[in-house]
Amino acid sequence: MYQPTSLDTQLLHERAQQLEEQLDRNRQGLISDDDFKPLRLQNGLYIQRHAPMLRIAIAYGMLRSDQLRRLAYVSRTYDRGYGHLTTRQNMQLNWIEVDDVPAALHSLADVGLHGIQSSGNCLRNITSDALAGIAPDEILDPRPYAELLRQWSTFHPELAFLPRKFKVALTGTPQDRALVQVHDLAFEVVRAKPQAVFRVRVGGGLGRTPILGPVLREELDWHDLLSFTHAVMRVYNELGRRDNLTKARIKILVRTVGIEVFSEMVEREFEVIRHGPDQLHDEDLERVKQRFVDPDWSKARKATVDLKAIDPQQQKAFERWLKHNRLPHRVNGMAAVLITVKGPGRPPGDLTSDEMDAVADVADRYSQGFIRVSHTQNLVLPAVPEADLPMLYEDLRALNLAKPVGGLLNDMVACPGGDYCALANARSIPVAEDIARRYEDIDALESLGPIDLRISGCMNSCGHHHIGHIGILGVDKDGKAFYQVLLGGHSGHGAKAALGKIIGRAFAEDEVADAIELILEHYLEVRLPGETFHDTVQRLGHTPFAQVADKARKPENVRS
Amino acid sequence: MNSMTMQNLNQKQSVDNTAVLQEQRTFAVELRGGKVIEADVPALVLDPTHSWEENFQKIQGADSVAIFFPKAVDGRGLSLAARIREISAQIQLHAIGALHVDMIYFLRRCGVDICHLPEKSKAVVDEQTQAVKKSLLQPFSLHYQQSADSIAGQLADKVQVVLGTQVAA
Repeated sequence: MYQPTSLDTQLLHERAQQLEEQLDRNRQGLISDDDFKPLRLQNGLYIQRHAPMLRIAIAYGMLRSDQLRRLAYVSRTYDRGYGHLTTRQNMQLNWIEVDDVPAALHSLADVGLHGIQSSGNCLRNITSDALAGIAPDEILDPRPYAELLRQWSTFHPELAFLPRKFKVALTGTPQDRALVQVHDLAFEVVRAKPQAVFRVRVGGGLGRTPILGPVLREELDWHDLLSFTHAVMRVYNELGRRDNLTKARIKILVRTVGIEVFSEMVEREFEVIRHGPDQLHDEDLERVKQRFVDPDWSKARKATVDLKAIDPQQQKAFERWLKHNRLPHRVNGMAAVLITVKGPGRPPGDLTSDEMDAVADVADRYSQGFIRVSHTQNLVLPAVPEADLPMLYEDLRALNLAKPVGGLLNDMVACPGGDYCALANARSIPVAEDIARRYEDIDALESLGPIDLRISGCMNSCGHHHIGHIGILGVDKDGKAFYQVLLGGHSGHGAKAALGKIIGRAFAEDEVADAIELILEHYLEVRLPGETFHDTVQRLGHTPFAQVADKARKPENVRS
Repeated sequence: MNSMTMQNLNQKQSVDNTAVLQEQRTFAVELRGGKVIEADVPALVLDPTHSWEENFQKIQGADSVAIFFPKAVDGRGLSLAARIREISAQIQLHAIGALHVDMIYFLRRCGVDICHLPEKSKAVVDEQTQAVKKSLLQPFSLHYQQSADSIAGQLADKVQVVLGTQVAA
């Protein structure tokens, strides 16, 4: 991963210092609350339902053990002893005091972490594939390009006051693990040689108007990565709607003018700035690549005999864990291991400070201190020698972090919802908990097969409900929380990306988990051998599932 | 999209608080060294809610222009400033409107020479030096992208090709 230079680190301290001074100016009335708001948001500082919230960017999901330890320290010292992993490779602290934020940011700056552009109407923190650099299907490691984009977009004055937020993702594989079709701007590697070439998508996104991003350019030479992005941003900055918040995202502009016209406008800008200062040169890439340190892959060790759990009683559970939580790795004898931060009693993505410390220790012992954060709110250890898997399993099991649910129903994604978020219409966490409790039994979970359940507490769709095989969306009806259920969505990893469709009227809070259970039971009854839930929905359509889900409706909840 | 539609798209978004903002009492800060200076707002005031092509036509032959910011969070003025600086090293660029002291950094990076801040912002001016704090001008010791100033005037030829007309200010 990228090792910050002393100047990079100095910059982060200067940013914390700047926020401290801005807070002072705000207190003195030199900048109004309205003027201060975008400045604090661009440091990830929100004022939330109960308390301020600080969103810390984990650049394209790469984390070191010392950084995780620092997150443990900061969440313990300035928050309530836990943090929340988001769907955009961030960690959020939900109870921090505003006055403590500069000190927290200085502390994070020491290890190269920050909240820069993790919120606000700016170009946000860049995200990528959590398996970048280790995926067997990778055409090109996208991380140096992500870092080039991250650096260039940091404090770029033309990207700071956009009509609305702007999210960028990169991926280096044909398999989409970076949600490239639901980003405002995304780069997918087409080929690596002789020069890296990206396909560019624009105007994807979820929220109120979910759209899969159309292709803006089939091929873009990597040298033009920044200048082309600048061209897109100029068009958007100047023509994106500023009169209506719900129509301000770039997807609305692209849809209004059409992708062909939008493309012409971008190409015209590009012609002007292409060979200007944003053009990248080989030495720029080399400079960034030299700052990347990867695990020592020579430490790979294949297991000499079939893997056996240390505790024989645990053999079956260990095998299950391998089946669901061991991820493919390009290096023979190395394993990538998914740590699902999920399950009953734990809001999806929540880690205590003690767990952060413990995972940092585990990462040092088994993965050379390297950790990844995925958009599914999980952690990945990217460099575990295969022979160490039994010991790693035992250690994770002792920490209650060895749930073998990777890719299964209980690996569900959920936003913090109405329990924390000021925007939410409904709570997400109790719904996640209710469903997780119903499927605690691993046999039942395994029998359901791969299911991607995603829950959002409001239209803003932080829980990515449109792209779950099952999506749940919290809505407000006359002051009461209801939940729409969507089926047919897909993230684009393993199948074509697709947006789910609502199956019918929203369910009351005490109906929604029943509805999901009925849908899943119906799937078990009607599936063909080997058919996944998503496949069955594709084959049969929504109607039979909507019909069974209707049985969950209670007479007392009937609305006019 | 034809230019008429584009115009409509833009106009729909203009915020008509110009009169209020133009009546506010301001003082001028030059953004190289941060000194408070005596400077009038240029006669030519550009509206960034109009297209940059239209604004480029207006600046033909002008020595100095002001860009009006209807809201501090409206980044269109920043792109317009950067665009003008990219085609002209000479033109003096002013910023007026809904500005506050923390905009200084962004304006400076986009090639603005002088900003006109509301009178209440004077509290950030050091009485001795009659300049704003360095941390407002240059909060960071490093930038990962070039400022518009660093390429001042260098893109004039390219813009001329795209527009098919002279653009040098």
